[in-house]
Amino acid sequence: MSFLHRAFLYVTRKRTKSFLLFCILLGIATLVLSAAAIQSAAGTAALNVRQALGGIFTLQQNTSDPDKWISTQVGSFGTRSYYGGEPLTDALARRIMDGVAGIRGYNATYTGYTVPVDANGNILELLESEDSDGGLASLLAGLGDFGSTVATVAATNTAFDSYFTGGYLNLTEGRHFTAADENPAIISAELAAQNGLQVGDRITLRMSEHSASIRGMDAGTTTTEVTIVGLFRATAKSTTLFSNWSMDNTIFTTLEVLKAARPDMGDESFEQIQFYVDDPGELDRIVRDVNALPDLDPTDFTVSVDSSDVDAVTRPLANIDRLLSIFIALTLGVGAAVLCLVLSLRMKERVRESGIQLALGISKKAIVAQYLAEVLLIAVLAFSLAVVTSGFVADTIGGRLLENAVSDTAQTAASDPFGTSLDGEFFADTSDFAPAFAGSNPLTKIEVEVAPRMAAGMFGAGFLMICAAVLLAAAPVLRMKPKEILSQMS
Amino acid sequence: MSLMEIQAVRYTYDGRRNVLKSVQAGFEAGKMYAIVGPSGCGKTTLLSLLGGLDSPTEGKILFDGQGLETIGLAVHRKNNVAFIFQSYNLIDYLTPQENVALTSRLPPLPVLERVGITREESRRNVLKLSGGQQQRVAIARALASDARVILADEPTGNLDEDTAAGITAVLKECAHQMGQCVVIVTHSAGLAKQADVVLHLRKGELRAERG
Repeated sequence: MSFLHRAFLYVTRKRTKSFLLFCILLGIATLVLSAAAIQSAAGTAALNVRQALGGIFTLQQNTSDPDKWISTQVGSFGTRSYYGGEPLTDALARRIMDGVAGIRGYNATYTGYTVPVDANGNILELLESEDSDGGLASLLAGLGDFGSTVATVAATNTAFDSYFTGGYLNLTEGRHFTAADENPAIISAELAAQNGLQVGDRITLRMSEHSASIRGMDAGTTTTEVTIVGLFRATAKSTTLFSNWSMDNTIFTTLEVLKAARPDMGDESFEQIQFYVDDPGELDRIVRDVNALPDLDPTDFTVSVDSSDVDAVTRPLANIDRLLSIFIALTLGVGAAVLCLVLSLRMKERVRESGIQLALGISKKAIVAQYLAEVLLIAVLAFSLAVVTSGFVADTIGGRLLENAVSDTAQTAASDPFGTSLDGEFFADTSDFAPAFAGSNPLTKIEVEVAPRMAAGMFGAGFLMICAAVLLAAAPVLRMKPKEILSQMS
Repeated sequence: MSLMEIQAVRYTYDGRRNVLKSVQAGFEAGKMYAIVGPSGCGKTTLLSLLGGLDSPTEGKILFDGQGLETIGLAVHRKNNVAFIFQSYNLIDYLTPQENVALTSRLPPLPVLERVGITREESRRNVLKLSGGQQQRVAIARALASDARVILADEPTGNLDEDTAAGITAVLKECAHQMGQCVVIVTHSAGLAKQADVVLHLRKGELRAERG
């Protein structure tokens, strides 16, 4: 009779003992697998948070350094100060992207205000916000067509614009544009519908007559034609100080267009460049590499990285991860000890059987193999069921645990100066007049599940633990001579 | 010619107490041997040495002219000898049929029927059989292993007279009809009388009383 046959007969005939061992193994496996699943979900959540918040670094001019400012005389108004460090240009962004590994893309932006006019020369009918303008509209009403200005965002690549990458704006029609496009524009689908516009139509942008007059300029000469290449829709409600500057009225175009419509900008370059990295975990290294680029003066720029904020945001998840690591180690340790103890007791009970088998000429190897096969047979069933039970436990307990942690995370994220405000609103642009979106909080989407990889790992680790426990438990019996065992029997 | 031979075997417990002192004996196939002697004189130890459960402190035990150390004790236990114990030593979670099949070289059922265990009984839980039936199963296990030497330690010690007589008859049959060498350790004068050779172990020395 083979050892496997004997093992099968033992497991099926000694049902109470087998059931007890089954429960122990099921308990250990469920605890370990649940903890591993929760830990993995916490890891995924942390990664999601990092990717949502931390995969970006922003390059801005170092305007806090007074030595970097240059003053020039402008007409009869007096002096105009401008930043004298290296301007933030598309060429600079490209240089950085080409010189540093791990950057996926970038978008440089500058926000100005222009008056949009249709092909018939009529100012576009703008969308009204439901919110009051807090008196700003009435204040601007006396400034002529200045009240018809809209936020005009100059961008080098709208596909990498924060509002689009953050999911607050969706391109619903047409395409994104890059700096290589000639006079492109992306407007909101609502604004297009309000004015009977569609992709391919042309509109013009110009300086407001009020702004032109105070600068001694002719607004008519600033008229710049753009072609609508795409339409977007906002996925969340946004508010602004002045409803005409809301996101629904915003026009995305290139810096060349904006400069043509607003010649008063002079030589101004972009306000900021946002770089998107492939792996948020490499942000620190990438920023170090950017600062070390030979053809770049690091004092000209400030680089803001949100990795410290990300660390703060992910701290609750990191704590869970640490606690679960300890829990898994403890469970494995205690589980192995309990298993060893139970198996040792079983071996003691089965000294007689071992002696009989030895006397019958069955080898020690075959006897240990039988004991091992018995536990492994039970373990296969216990571990298989553990995949189901741990899925349930992890989903119930882990889901709640992580929801709390992620809720903490979201609250921490809300205090993050980049992108999100205290009340959960999202700003891609930190200027006072930028639209603020209600937070959509994609961070709370967490799925706790037992992955096949985890189950396989648990089977492997469990089987190793069982082998070690069986060998340890069987060692005292196996060290004895058959006669010693038989003496104990008698 | 002896199938098994004990050559100047000495066995001590803890290196001090001499249980066996230069024991010399030969065991032939086709004969039933009875080893008798007072309790604690080393009868079971001698049986263990013959069965390869232990090694002598000095001297040699030969099977078919070959030393057990050369054959290997585990191999000797597996291939050459079969044990019958006083307390039956059946494995409790196996049926009689499965107990016999543990190391069987012969089909278990005919062997069980030969010792008086029915087919129905052979499928029961072994613990639900009477003492006599359990000992029959133990004998069937020894017979089914087709070993050339059967070593029995007080095989009738726990049995009533009639059952003991039946067991003794089976063991005699093994020796005389199957040509096996049967070595029995016993206190029973009745069983010893049935043996072809009676060996008396006293104060560590073995003497043939009859044979």
